[in-house]
Amino acid sequence: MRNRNIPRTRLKSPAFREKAPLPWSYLIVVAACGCLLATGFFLAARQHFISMEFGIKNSRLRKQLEDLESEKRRLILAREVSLAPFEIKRTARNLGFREIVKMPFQNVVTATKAKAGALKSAAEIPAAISGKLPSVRMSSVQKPIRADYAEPVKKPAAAAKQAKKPDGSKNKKERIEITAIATLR
Amino acid sequence: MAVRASSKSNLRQTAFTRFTLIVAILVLWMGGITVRLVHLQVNQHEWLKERAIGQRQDIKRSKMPRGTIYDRDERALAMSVTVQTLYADATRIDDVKSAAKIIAKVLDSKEAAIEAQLADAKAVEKRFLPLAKGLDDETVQKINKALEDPSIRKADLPKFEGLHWREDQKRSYPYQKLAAHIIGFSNAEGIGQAGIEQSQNEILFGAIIKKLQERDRLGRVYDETVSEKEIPKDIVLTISTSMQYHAEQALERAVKVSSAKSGIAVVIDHKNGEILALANYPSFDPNKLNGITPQNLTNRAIQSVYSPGSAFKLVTYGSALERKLITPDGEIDSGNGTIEIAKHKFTDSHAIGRVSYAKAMAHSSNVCAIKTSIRVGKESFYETVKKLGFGRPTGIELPAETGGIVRSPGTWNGDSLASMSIGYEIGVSALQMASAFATIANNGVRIQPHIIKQIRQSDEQVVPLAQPENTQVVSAETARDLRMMLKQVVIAGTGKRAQLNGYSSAGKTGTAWKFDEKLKRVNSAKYVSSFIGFAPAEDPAVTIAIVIDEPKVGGRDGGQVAAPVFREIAEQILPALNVKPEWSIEQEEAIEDIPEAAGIGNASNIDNNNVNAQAKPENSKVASARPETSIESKPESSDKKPEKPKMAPKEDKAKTESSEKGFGEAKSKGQVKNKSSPEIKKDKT
Repeated sequence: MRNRNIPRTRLKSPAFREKAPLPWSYLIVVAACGCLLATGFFLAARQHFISMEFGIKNSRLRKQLEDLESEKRRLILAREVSLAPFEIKRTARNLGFREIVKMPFQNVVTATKAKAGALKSAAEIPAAISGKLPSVRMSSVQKPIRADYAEPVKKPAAAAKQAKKPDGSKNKKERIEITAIATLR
Repeated sequence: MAVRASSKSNLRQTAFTRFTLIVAILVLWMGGITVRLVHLQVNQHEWLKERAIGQRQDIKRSKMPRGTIYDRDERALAMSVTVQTLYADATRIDDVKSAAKIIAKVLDSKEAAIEAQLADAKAVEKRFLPLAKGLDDETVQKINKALEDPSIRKADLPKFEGLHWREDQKRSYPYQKLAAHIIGFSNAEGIGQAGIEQSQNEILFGAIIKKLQERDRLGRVYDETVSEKEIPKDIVLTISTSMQYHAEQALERAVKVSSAKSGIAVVIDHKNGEILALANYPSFDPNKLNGITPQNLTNRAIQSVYSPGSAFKLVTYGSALERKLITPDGEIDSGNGTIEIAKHKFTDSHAIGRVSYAKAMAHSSNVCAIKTSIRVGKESFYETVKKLGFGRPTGIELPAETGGIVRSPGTWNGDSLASMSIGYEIGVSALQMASAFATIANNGVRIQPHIIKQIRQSDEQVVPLAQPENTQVVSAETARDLRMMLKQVVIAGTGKRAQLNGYSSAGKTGTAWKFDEKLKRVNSAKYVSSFIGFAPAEDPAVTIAIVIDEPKVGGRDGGQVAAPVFREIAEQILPALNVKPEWSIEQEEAIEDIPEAAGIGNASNIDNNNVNAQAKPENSKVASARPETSIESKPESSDKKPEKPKMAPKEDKAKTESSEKGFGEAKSKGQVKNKSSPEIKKDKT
């Protein structure tokens, strides 16, 4: 009867081991695992550096966004500054415009008198100007000429006298100016 | 066989020895590494960690831009912009002298001063030494270019060792003086110091945020963590820039023309309580705070109290109408224009005899107002005063609002009711007065005045706000009667100069002597003149209050000084509010043809107008459409004395001093007795 059990001492002997060949499948698996690991490390490193790149780009874009936001604010502010009435007034003055000086309150005339005066003044407006500005003419004719505040030293009697005063050359000039002011307004 | 076995044994021995040697070397090598690692990670752990973090991480602190304040038309009234600060980390500068030379050249400053600063900072290892502040982008770029050193490897600008930029915020007010008292200003730390900036500081405040930046070996930021802070919100105000400008300009002109001390203008949309304009003069520019005085900074419209004078008769007649004690057409006898209450004589500027209540109000009769208040009684009068919002802050979202001075009836003197009925012994703010008139304009419904329309988050989402208080103070009928009476003031009374072109208007003048601290009594040379009204008279769209403090030149009463300001503002604001004119200019001219006999100024005619105003509203337009006629036909009205309680000349000085004290001044007990004159009793019966 043949003994099927191989003694352990025989397996461990160098002679037996030398003869035992390395299994190719085992080597291939090890190599594949090694390759996989190396590829994994490589991909991870690549991802890391890509993410770093993205991070840097992201940071730059964020900075750009902040800069644009602050630039937008600056532009809005500049627009508001240029639209501010005081700035418009200053610019207008620099351009040679004159500020409207309101007439004293006590120079208020009756609508009838104003109408008469205004009609006269309207007649004095050069045809060229009046033709260009029909709306202005209308308003100056229809609106009683009046202004806002009492000139302290002026007495009412004097004001009434002034209102009744016939149109001199000075008054004509003033009325034309008032019409022009109305145009601007 | 034995030789073969022996050689095999030697080979194995050699292999084993070599293997052992290699293992020993590996063990030693690994042991060395382990020892080193243990040393680094245990002994030098803290130092290495700090160094690593320092190389990789950068902490940057910056401030979020403070919230923007807009007007109702989305115009930015206050805005923060980013500015840069150039600072030096003195510990990183090796050669202070040469660095100072370059920096001084770039910044155009003194080299010696910068060198001294840098040397001092280096000595104490100071890492933040500001060299230039508040620089805009253009300047920053110029400096960066000038400071560029190619040998320096640095990710951030400027490429100069030891120099860095820091972001800061600068608050700008593009409209300068416009609405300065409303907006206020904030200090260098971005904390509100006045106005909306102060009251809404928590909403507007731009918190300091910490940015944790991860940097690579070249200093480039590849990751950033921002500490979470609430983003400041924006505030939209109810004011309109254009209306505010008109109000401020009109007020400034009036104050300058009358050489007054100061002026106030308040414009309210009484239908919703929104403040459309709130102007003070003198004002200030929040961009330039150097040399500003407290007088300029005070928001008088809400922080100052004054005696309203005759404008307060609205409350007197209002409380009587509410209790059905009088009707506008009912008659009252002002007698000879004098009344004595608790040994204090009150007089009218001119006796008007027996007149209707409407005319009494139009002529601002003190005697009639006092008699009416006596009919109303202390408690009822006080109740109406409180209901109309006097004696407590209105609740507007502005800091340091005064509640005014209203004493309870228990502390009143014998003549207090009489004095209060004509606007003395009481302190009110311009806003309170405007609010009271707005209540009448709004059919007796008082809507809490407010100035914030909206609070917006950064994502444009609107933060819900509490609805303003809405209280029915007087009945709609009383309000209508009062409006009609106030209209008569403008048509035929003391407020003729408040007549508008194309619109009807209603209101009440007020002129009060001021209390003089030096004299310890009212000074008849110092006035507070006011006009408070609304327009159009029938269906009011806007309520305007004008107060001029101490006008010195020309006419001084409210009808002369304040009413024209009302007119100017109203005429500019009403078209802006899309309120259609009630009559056209052609109609106005047609009316001029009506004979002067139906004009204003005659007592009988006033009453006729009064009746007409009730029966036919269009006739009232006719009457109010003649401002020029009425003013010119009676120019002497300009010289009329202020409608004041006047002391009879025979009154001794002591009595004068005690009885003419300003509001809040307690009187001596000897004069507290309330002795109604026979005339008053007669009137009451």
